[in-house]
Amino acid sequence: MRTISKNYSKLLLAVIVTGSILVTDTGCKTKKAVTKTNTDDSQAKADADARKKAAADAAAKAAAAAAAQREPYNRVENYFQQIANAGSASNANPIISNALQSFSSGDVPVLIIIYRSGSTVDYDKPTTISNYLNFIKDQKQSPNSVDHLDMDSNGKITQVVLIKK
Amino acid sequence: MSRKSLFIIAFVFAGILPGLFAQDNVTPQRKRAIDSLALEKVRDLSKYISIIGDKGTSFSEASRVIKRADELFATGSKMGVSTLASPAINYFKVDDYFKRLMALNYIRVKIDWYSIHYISDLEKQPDGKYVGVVTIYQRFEGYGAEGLKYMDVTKKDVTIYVEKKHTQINGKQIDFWDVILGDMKVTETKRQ
Repeated sequence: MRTISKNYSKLLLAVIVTGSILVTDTGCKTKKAVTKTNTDDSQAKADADARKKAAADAAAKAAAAAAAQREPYNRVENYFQQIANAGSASNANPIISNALQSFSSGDVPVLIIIYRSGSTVDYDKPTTISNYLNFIKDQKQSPNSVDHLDMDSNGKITQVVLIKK
Repeated sequence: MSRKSLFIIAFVFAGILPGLFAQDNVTPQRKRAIDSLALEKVRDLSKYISIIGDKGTSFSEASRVIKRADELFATGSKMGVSTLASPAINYFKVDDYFKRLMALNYIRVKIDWYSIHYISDLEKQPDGKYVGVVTIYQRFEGYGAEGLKYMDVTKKDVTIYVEKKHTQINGKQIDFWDVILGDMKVTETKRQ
């Protein structure tokens, strides 16, 4: 009876020790797995953030480049509107002088598209920027918008293509 | 000539001819753009005449505008002038007409053109030009020190010629429609 009890105690001890080892080992493994998962998540989040930042930077750069490219167009359109709304020749003339600073000369050609469909493009009779700005002053309206500008290396406009609004 | 040569010639023509015809292919939308362009030139002239006649316009501005207005007309074109005082209609070369307009003996002159419209649509002629007739109504008011001194409304017809031309700009060929105004004839003059 005593032997059985002793053996039982030994068996119980063995079970407890084995169980403890198993529990401890499993616990370690879980902890390792959690730690590894946490590390992976952090890395993925960092990567995602980096990708987002790169995309945002690229978008900002593209927007800045587009704005820089669009700037002369907006400037010219603004001059057209200011001249049309000047109210009198004496008010319009200084604006025309300012506007001409953006062009390589007063003789810069101005083409006005009156019709465009596929490869067919019809123009009004070509004029010069000086005459066109005075035309806006005389007519007190700006009937065309800027379709295309050619620039030289100094940032001066060398050709203007307009299109009927 | 071998069959191969004939085939090559036919192939080359098949490539070139559609392009040549396409240039003359004036679709209804394209024609509308040309009609509109021609009518705009008459409206531009209307503004120029108003500026030239305005006593507030400086001499240099009036001279510049006369030059622009002159460019709208075919060389030697004439402008009809009438008054309520006489049934006669006098015709002046457009340049002389503009100079007379600038020198009118009034303190203030107001000239408005209205109801500008085609009475004869632009039609293609055998020479390739388009020709049409536009009517305008002109209200003229001349003021003296005591106020309105003279006023009339004149109906005028102007013949419009539209021709396709080519020019080189920065090394590129540009095809454009040149709108030219002809004689401006008085068809009616009335008090109001």
